[in-house]
Amino acid sequence: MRINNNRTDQFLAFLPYRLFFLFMFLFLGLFADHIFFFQEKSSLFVFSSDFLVENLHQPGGLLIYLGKFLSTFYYYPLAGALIASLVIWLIVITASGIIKTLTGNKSGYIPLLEGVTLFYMQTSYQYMLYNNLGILVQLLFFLLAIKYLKGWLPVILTPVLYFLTGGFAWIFCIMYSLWLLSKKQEKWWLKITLLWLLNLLIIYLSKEYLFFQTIGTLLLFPYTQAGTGSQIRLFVAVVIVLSLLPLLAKICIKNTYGKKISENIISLSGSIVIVFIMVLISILKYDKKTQQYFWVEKLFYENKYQEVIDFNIKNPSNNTLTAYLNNIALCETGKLNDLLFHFPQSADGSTLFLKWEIVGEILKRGGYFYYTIGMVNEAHRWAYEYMVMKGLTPEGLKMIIKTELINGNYKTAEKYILILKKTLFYMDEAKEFEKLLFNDLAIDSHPELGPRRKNKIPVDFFSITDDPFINVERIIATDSLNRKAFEYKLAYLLLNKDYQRISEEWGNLGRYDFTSIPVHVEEAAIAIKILYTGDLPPAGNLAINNNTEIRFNKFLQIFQSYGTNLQAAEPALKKQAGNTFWYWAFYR
Amino acid sequence: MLRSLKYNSYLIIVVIALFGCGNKPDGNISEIIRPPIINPDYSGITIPSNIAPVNFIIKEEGSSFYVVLSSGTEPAIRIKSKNGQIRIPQKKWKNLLTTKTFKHLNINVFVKQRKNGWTKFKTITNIIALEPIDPFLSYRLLYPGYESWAELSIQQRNLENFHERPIIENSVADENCVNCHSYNNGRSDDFLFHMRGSMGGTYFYSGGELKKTNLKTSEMKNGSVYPRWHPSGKFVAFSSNKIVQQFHSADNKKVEVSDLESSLILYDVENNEIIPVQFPDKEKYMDTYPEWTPDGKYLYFCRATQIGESYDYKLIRYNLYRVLFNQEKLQFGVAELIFDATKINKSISFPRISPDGRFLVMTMQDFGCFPIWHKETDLYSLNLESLEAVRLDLNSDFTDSYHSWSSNSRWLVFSSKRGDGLTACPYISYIDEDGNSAKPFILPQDDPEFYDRFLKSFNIPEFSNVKIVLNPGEIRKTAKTGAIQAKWSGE
Repeated sequence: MRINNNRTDQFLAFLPYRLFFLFMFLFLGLFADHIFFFQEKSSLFVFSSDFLVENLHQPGGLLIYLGKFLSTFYYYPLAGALIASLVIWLIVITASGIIKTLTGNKSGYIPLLEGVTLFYMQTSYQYMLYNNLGILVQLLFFLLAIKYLKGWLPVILTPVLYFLTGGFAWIFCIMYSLWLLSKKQEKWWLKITLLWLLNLLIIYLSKEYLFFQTIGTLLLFPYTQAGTGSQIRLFVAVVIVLSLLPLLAKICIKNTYGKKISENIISLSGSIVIVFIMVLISILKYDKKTQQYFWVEKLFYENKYQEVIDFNIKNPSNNTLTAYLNNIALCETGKLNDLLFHFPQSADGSTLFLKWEIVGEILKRGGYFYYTIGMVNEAHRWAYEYMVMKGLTPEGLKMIIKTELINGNYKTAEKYILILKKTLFYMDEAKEFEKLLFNDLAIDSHPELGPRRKNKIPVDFFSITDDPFINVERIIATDSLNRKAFEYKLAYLLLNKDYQRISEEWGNLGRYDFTSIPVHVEEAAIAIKILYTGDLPPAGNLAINNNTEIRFNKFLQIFQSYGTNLQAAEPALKKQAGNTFWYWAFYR
Repeated sequence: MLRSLKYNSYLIIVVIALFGCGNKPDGNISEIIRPPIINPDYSGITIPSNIAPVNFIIKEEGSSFYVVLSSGTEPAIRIKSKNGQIRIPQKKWKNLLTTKTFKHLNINVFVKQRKNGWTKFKTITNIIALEPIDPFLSYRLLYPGYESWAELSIQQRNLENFHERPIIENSVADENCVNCHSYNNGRSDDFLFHMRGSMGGTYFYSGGELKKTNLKTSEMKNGSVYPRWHPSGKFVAFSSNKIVQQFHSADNKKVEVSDLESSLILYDVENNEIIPVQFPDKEKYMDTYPEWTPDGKYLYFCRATQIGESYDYKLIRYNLYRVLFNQEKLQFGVAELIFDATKINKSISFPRISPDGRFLVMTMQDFGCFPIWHKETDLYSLNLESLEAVRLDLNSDFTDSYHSWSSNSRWLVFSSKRGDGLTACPYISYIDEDGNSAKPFILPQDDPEFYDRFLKSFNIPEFSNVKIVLNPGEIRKTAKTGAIQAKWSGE
């Protein structure tokens, strides 16, 4: 009976922690898996000594290294959810352990509150793993210091901790100083003084002789605003509370009930509160739009263009990047000007192509448009610049390899393939690339690279990435058979309602291997003919579909039924013909 | 007890037999009449006696490798390897290379194949030159990219060992770009470099002091770019350029860097004055890449016809000119054509005169003034007596560009992209009395596979005789101060 009671007590005591972990894991794994997709694609862990050395070039680098290593397993989102949840859970458990060591009492209030806050922050896809790892290492080291490390050892080891974890080491320094202050052991003041002097000395030596970085970098790295998902205030609050844990433990942790029954009630009520808060956070932080965007990006990276289109039809999005990727998928499947207006578009062309931007996420994705239209050098440039600015990433490195292979720069490609081969989940792809080295025939017959090489623009000109449309025009001017570039040109003219130039291009349709005139181009042609009584040159053997004319007549009928009042007719026209060029021409 | 000892002895013998045998050629050794493939290719080269060990990896199939390095009467170095990596002990290497006369360095490679046993390849024979190389090499490490940079550093490498240390790291100065380091005639205790961006300026290091100057005055249309120190150390000739960078959409070269305008200026270091190099009709030309003769009497430079608003970049070609310099009056004479590259549809960049004043090595490419991105770029040597130019034997099918002479005129270091077509690496070649170049070798690294993985380029390799004592921390302090404005002393 007694054993059963103990078991019940134990179960109840751990219930809030278990529920916390379970809820966190389930939410991250099932409703926020995009976090792990994003973070896995944001860095590439290479199993090599060079990569380790590269990451050790400044204090805190090892934390980044460890973060990148664990993020590799984010390749599987459930593994990502498990790792992220486990790290937060360990922070909570360690903080509880610290409180118990300091006060002799168990209390999960502060640790769980901290855990919940960390979970809240983790729901942002930009909140990087190394933040939580940094915190966890400090707590573990503090626990180790107060439980097992005697004398001067914790003080002496602090510079090592600083080298490994960078700016996060200040959490330990504050915690340990407060603990020394509260314990007032022998030479406590000397230890505190030495602890801080030693660290200041390390900062000075790092600045002047070892790493040559600025004080700001040396004090804070690897902490960055971007790395916390711009949740600075919350992050700082968590760090402050944890740093003050030795003080807070003394002040707050006084179990006035002091009886088992009370602890059980506390555990139960704590569990309920935890569940309530977690549900609340989950509702508040569930970010369906972002999740959908990253799902599109995932499909896109896997070259599943039809699935990208299908998903966007089912889940319409106003996100510019979603539309940009979707338009590439449309072009890759030959439907750009059949389905363009089935999706939200920007009149400035930003859903068709991205303007050059050296900072931020644009650089990561802008090259794919060029890859599609055969400007292989430009696709390479975007990927390369991204690598220079942000380091190695799986998709960036793959793009560099693919473009070098297409260009026949095998020796250069070989170097990058060697790096990709030293990764955990991209090794097989690297081996496939390796088979293509120094083998033109293999590339020509490759399902992805073969057509790209064939479609590569043959005549050189200087790229103008501030105005991508100029590049499209230059391709058409020099390579009249690049259908993908031609489709983009038409799409841009449609978005700009440039009837004059659409009329001029109409006659060129026959030069490309269209089996039928793209729907939106037909729609524009009819509008030109009827509304503007413009003449169109012959489009080779292609002719306008009768059905399109019938649809246009219906469109006009609806419009006329509202007394040609644009505003009044808008809802009906949107319902009947919202995905046509005509609607775009009238209302956008 | 005795039994146990006996048992253990047997065990030790078995272990020795298993691991001790087979790592050294013995028994029947077959011979292959070709030399082994080694990477980097350190075969048939001429090396200085003070160079770091030429570690390499044997690219032959085998389960064990054995290498014997020998030279004259010196004791041989014997190295065993399981993976083909040959790392030569530095001390033994130094002893082996010590020489007072020309001698050969023989590398004998033995490879053991599981079925065929040991095979000996044809001996690799290299020459150890009498003349030492300048002990230090400085270069900028950067990604051979387009326009962005994250980490940039100028490093100084000790050529006698593998020690490399940063002189400048851009992390100390708000990640600004640092470039164009230039020594005062190989004296690295006297040098300059540019920094762009928020801490921009030209930094002069002299006599242990670092100062930041602004060499762009209101009278100048463009800033000071490519520097060359006058042998007296009192002046620096700069080109002042307006540069444009464009990206090729289809050509198998990435970037095209061209000058829209350029002219020459002289900076008087002591008086902090900029003196324009005045030529008649100077607006008709673009003058760039200055270079002094060792006696300081002539200034060589590259000149092209000034381009108009619309131009064909493939038709911009530079010839080699020189002009007499009067150091007392700070006056220049009349520009004189020295080598007409346009006649052979070539363009000249980076003229560099050997310290003995006998040869000028320059790059020649099909057009333009930024050869590093031109695959066809080769190094040519111009005999300054006969004014005849020859293509040096050290060239490859890939870019062979920026070069620097050692102080004894016997060694030339240059950037070559022959490794992978993209990354520029430092190659060193012996130049004999007649100006002929020997087969070049890549800068030795401790890890022989280093170049297979390294993604950055070694930019602007420059020899120097002195170890730089400046560290990046000192640069940060100066970078934060205001720049000393140079004075204009032109009309």
